[in-house]
Amino acid sequence: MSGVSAPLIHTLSLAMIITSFAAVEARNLRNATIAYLFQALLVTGLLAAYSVQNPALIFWAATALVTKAVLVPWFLWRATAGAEQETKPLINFGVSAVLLLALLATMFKLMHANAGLFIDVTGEFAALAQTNLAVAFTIFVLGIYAILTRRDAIKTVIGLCLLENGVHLSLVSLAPAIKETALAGIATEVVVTVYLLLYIIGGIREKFKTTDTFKLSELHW
Amino acid sequence: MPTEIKSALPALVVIAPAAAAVLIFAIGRFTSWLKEALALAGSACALVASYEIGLAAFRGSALTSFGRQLYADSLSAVLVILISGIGLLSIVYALRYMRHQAAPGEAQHTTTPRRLAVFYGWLMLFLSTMLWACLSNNIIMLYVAVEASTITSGLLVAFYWDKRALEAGYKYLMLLTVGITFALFGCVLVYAAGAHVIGGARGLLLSDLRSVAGGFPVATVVLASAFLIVGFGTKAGLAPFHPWLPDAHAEAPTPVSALLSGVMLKVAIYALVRTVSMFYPGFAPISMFVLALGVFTLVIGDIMALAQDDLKRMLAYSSVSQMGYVLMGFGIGTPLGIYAGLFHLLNHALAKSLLFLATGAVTYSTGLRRISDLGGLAKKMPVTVFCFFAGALAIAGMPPFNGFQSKLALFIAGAHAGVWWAVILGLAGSLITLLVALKAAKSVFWGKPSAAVSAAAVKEAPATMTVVMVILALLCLGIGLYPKAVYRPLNAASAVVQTVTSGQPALEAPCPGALPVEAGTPSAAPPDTSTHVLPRR
Amino acid sequence: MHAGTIAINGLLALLLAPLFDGVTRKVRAIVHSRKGPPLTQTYMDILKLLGKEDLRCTTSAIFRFAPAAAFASFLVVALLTPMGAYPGTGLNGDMIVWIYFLTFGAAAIILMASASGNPFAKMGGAREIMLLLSVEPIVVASLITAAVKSRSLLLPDMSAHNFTAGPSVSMAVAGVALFLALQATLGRLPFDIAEAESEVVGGALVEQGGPSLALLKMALLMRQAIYSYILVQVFIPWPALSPWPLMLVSSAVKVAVIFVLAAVIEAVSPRLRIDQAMTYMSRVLFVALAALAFAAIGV
Repeated sequence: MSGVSAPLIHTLSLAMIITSFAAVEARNLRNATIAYLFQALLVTGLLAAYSVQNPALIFWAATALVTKAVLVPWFLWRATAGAEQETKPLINFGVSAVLLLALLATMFKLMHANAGLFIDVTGEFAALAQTNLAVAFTIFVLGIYAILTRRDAIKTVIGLCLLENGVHLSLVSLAPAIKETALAGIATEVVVTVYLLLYIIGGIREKFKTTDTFKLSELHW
Repeated sequence: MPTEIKSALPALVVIAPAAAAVLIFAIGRFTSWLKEALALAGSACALVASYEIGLAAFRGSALTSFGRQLYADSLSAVLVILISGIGLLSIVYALRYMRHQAAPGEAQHTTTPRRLAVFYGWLMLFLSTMLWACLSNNIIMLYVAVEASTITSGLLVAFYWDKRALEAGYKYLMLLTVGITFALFGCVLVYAAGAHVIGGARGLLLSDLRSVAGGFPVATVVLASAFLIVGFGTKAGLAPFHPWLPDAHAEAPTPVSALLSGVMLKVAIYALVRTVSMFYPGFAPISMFVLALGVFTLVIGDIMALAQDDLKRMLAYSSVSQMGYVLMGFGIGTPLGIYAGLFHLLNHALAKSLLFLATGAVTYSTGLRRISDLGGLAKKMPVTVFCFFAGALAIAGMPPFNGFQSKLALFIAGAHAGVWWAVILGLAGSLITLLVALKAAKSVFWGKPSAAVSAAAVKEAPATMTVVMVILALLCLGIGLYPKAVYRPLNAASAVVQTVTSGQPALEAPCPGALPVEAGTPSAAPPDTSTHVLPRR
Repeated sequence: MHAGTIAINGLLALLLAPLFDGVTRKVRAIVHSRKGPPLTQTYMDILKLLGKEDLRCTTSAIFRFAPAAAFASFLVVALLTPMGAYPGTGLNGDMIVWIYFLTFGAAAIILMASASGNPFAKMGGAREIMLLLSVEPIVVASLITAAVKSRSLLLPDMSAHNFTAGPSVSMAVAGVALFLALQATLGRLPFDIAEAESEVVGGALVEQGGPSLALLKMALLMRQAIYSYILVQVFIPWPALSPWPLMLVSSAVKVAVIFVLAAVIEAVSPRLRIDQAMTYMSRVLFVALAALAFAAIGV
């Protein structure tokens, strides 16, 4: 079985990290949605690239295409209608960029060094699996960063989607033989959760007149 | 290993409520009684099926469906009976309660008869996913089912669609989804390690993973356990992952709160125990960590409960602390400890549901929720008062209620295992819980009626609601007076976890109530040989 | 061959820059439905200016010598810029020298603006500084990307590498970034903020007259030509034509195309405010840094 080309994987992975960063940082919510759309397409592309060495992943790629690249961006697009500018987060772009770069570099190094904890590092595709895990974890960390530091509720939902993308990408290396039904189940859940969250945020916008999470302070203690 | 029998019962338990939900969504809003009838039918069906499963499982067999994807052994059986039982009771309670909320005079909420169909539909789906989680044998599907229970309860939490409910719903969905993702990592790690040893298809099945879990590499085990504890612990409301819990449980409609506090937390603990206890025998520090986490949760929950003014929030924090007790039992790890943990799980489910339903009855009659607004209801609502007291004393661990029996078992187990610090903190927590419960009861039911109460036309809650509460209260009282009644199921259930713990068949755990009061049954002496690896102090 | 290359580069810069400006004016006129001046108009303007009296408004030495300094530094930069005749001057690290002299020239103009005492000139100078600070990093980042790919700091090596190695992701992205910043480097609408005729009356140029103005205009025109040549030679060097005069001609044609494009954009665009321009540039910087990241992983 021919291996998958490493430069292709590296290009796709880096492009994916860049689009994730754009999705987190873009102040206009619709631009962030578009950046997320590209990120989802790149995830699908990566999965398709990996399916060269593991044919079952084609199904995974197809599911990812439908759920991540079609449904979720559509929901986000509808939810951002008429409320496009994000409430400014506390950390501005410059500081955020530097912080993020440092975080990403650290995560990447950590994962690359410790990948042996998670997977078998002696197989022939081990190097690619290591890269994949490192990239998946960096996107996971990006998602958590977005959820923690963004003030706008819709941006946190985008962060959640990024987080889930990272997790699903890591499944490629962690659990290569997973059954399709399990994958389908996992993928559907994210979409339903996103839909419900956006529905509730719609209600929040109606009642609170804003999606700023700092204003969600009716309940404390 | 129990003998496996193929059966349709586990499938029926999961599918009946789901089918009811589909029907309710499709045709439920056309007539006024159809949705409630379907809901009752679905949950009653599940209860009957669970009972049948229980009968078979406690005799030593395990029922499987869908080619071993659903697997009902004693532990699962105890939980599904609990879930479907309390589910049915909540639905009966909700019949009157939700209609009252939907009545045209209620300006407070935006509930309409049409939305009631949505309510019952999601409720049945919620029940179905919880039942599925307790019966699932596939570790990835366990994650899927637990996540599905979050999704289905999301709209239920935000049901009232006002500011507080929406905020609670948003936080609920967000925090739990992030938390459960950690559990996914954990599940996948366990699966990967298992698939390495026994192949991909079998590596998914919990029943098969248990036998090989001892041989996994240490790093994988530590990481997987950490992820699983964080993931399922978030869902179970363990500190420090509990912030979603008070908001969600307080803002949801009362029947939903009863289910969330009374049952969903138990499902999360079940998932945690099912997965993490695989590693107990080989890796002692894990059970120690679980124990410490349990004690930490217990203390935090109690302290926060003291500071609350809102009745429902106080009850929610109390749930946090009681889950700490349950986890403490599982963390102790000896046969008696596990039995005590399960026993407390059962008792808390009954008592906490009772407390929430009683609080709901108070809200139903007076329209108020804050302790400072209430007072002097004892004369006007005697049945509710009795039930509330029963629940409060049960939670606090006072005889003759069931909480006393399970907490006693916990403390004895802790003493035998030598973890005195846990026992002392647990006792202190118990006292604080008692204080909290009594303070709430006193200010709600005794004293002079506050202005708000006198103004409202307060009378006793309607029959459907009081009957449910009385059933639960009698159960609490009954188990407290006669704990041997639940000995057999619980022993069989804890045996499931114990075979994992010690690799040996179940020891004769004594029934804690069989301290020299009961006559007739031969009671074994408490085991002083702790086969578990906790160090003796 | 070295001296010859230098001579060729210098002549090209001096002779072609006004021609490109003529092309720009003609294209702008066509877009505006006018006939426009002939292509050689700019030569005539500069020659006319050389014959006028050199009026000065201050006795400051900076004011006196700045036009010549700017002209000289941009001429040096033009000598270093590959324009299609190979090999280059052979100065090691000549990308750094290139950037240094460009900045030096720009600094000379800015100093002259503040030395003139005219408030319009000072405003123009301040805007020029801000624009420079936001555009320079993009140019530097793109060139560093090319340097990483070709493993050399020599500008001719960078363009030669692009021939041999073919197109690559990082070079493409860097080229896009540089193209997006092109209007600002050329100082044209929508980015001609520093020399806005209707806002700051020409900015730094307002107090100059006669030969000094001619020198300044030539300097600015050469700067435009230099930036276009760098974009063309380093990032879009194909096709490779073998006798070097042919290569010269094809590069000149490509640069002319760039100028036409820039003129069209200029003719239809409004002017951006400085803060809008800086926001836009920060986004383009993001693209340039992405190109650098791609080059770092070797793509």
